Amino acid sequence: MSRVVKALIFRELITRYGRKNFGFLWTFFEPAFFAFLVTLVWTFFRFHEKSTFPITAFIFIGYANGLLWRNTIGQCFHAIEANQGLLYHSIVKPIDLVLSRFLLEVLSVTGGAIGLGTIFYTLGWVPMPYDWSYLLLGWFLMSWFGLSMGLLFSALSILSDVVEHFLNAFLYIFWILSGSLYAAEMVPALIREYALYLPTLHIAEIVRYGLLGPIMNYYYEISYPVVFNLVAICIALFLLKVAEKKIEVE
Amino acid sequence: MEKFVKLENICKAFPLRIGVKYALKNINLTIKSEDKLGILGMNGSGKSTLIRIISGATKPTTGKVIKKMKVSWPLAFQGGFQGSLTGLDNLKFICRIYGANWKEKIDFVQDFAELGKYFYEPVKTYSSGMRARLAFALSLAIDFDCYLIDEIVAVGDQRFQKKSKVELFEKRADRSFVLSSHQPSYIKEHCNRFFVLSEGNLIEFESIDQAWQFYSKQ
Repeated sequence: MSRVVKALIFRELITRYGRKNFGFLWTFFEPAFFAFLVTLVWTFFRFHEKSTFPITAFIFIGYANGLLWRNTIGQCFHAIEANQGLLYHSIVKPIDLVLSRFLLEVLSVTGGAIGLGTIFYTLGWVPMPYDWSYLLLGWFLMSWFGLSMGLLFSALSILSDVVEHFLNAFLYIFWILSGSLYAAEMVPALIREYALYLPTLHIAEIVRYGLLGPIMNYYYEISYPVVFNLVAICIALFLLKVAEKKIEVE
Repeated sequence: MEKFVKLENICKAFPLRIGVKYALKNINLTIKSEDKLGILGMNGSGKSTLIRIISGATKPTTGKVIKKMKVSWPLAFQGGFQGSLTGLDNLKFICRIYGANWKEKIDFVQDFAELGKYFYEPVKTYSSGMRARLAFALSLAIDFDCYLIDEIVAVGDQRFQKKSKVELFEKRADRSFVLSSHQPSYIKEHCNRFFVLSEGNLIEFESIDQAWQFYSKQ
């Protein structure tokens, strides 16, 4: 990791989480809270008596995995704008500002997932991962997706003021559609066909398979999100290059 | 290896609502080690833009900058401060990005910026004078071959200004400087090459007096 990115991460740690705050715990509580809520509803309707489906584990892993793109887009979006003053140091490049926020976010989401996963495992709500390699592959692919999107949106935020107004609505809808909270098997075949155009659904399936193992039918192709990410990151880097010319340091 | 900075055919244009403003027009300049450049220019003549292009903070519209020495950021720049960071945090950050050891620099910065206990408090609690002193001290904490000084170093009281002068021009007499100003006295005192930036053109003169003559006739 470059010296500059490392320095930016240290700096960001203090500015974001402060010295006394427990801000980083949010990446831990958010999926925890949601998993609890769904489990509560599940139990209330007595689904657990009719089904052995590990609902808590299912929600937990999908949610935590989805945060890898949702939180990184949010963090990267204003990365350049918020730290524009630092570009006065010519060794600090716009991409460093995005990369440092991205890495910190991936670290904090991953840390939160490990912490929460350990607690759930101890409680017997989450199994030991069925296949670590799939779990890690999915984690990696989703982080990569988050990076591509983070770079893309940080470039777009400089190129156009309009993007910001649509971002929240877009993120909200995409959060529901992305595949983090439903499995491909749960939707009708006709819809599934279209849903599988979303790379995030493939990745979520890979991650779920890695944790839960063959308890249901999974629909994924590893090559699809890989190719998608490759194309997306190339477009993002190109747009960032274009956007860089537009950045004027005060 | 020879140390220098070379600007080749630098142009900088800013889009305006109506048309385009050419802030710099085809500038060629070589800064060698121990060169002390003084640039005279009126407000808005493009001095700051030129200095930012030399530092690398701003990209030229066309032309290129070849850097074969370590060039500072524009001195005493305060824009990089973040309110919740302390003076020490800022020192650590600067040292980390430039690859210096911050532990070795604490004494210098503490001594130079005269912040006392405030060095360990968030920058948002600082007075504007304290901020300026910290920014100045941080600029000097890192070792550069060429220092860029945009406008007179009018930081702090007279005593502090004197201290800054000693630190910059006496202790670093073997370095290069680019000093921009709209007054000749400072340039006369510290520089050995004299320029006027006028209507986007950079013109070199033999002496400060010639430069001043041209400048005051504008």
